[in-house]
Amino acid sequence: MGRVDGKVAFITGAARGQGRSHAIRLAEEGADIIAVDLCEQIATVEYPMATPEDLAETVKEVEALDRRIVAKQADVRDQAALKAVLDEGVAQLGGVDIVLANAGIAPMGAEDEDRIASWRDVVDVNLTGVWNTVEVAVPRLVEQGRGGAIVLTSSTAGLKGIGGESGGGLGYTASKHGVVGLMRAYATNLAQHNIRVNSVHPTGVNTPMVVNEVMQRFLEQDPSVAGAMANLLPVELVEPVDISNAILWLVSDEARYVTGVTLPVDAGFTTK
Amino acid sequence: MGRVEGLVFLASDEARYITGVPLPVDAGAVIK
Repeated sequence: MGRVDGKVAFITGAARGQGRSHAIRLAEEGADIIAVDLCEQIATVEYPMATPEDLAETVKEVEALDRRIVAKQADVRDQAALKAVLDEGVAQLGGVDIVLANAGIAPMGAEDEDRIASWRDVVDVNLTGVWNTVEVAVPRLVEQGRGGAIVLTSSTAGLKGIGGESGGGLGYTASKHGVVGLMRAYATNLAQHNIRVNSVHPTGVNTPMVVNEVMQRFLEQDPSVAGAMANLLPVELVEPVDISNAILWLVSDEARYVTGVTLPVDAGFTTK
Repeated sequence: MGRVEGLVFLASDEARYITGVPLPVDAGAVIK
């Protein structure tokens, strides 16, 4: 018996990285999946973003577990498009119980940066995109009357003043802090409906958003940032499944009275 | 019950990179 048997999870940024890992881990524990990803490049992001082929691979891996998945390309910055995907997923899968606002970009380390454009894009995706994701799901969760669990993906940069001096880095840190505010406000507003809202705060994770030439250049150019990236536990990067396991626990009945919590999965990074 | 399940999670390999964390299992009491 799975820990989220019969539940439906709405996951953004599901084509690869942490989002794909969440889809697979929740499917292993019995959930069906509504998967969203842009699968296109954003101009201020220099590292390669996910592709339609990546999203197809997520579909294949979830279906290999005999779970159902509705996967669509959509932009978290477009609330109407997100609502359309959720509506279709709900119609096919019979509701929604779990919401994972995971989609995000990290446009620090770009060469010849357009500071204003980088700031705008990262705040639009990482903060407004998270807001859009929750906004489209909340009326459904409330109407269904069966509670729910929402996890917003923040970062250690949502708890500490790291991220560097670029427009993209400042926007990243500001947006990830903003996610905490959203989490606390939604947790307060939605508790009466038995809907729990928490955030997770990963350190560096072994995904294409972090393991790429642009991010490596950013880390090398600023030794103070690179030094600040060191974890307490002897591990350089954690794996996507480490975040998935924390989220699985948060959305399961095992955490039925856990809400309003900022949960670091950071190998001790924020304790330093 | 909830507290015990919180401990089981933190003590398990699924939380292998979680350390130094105060984890409220409080039905939202501290955020009010």
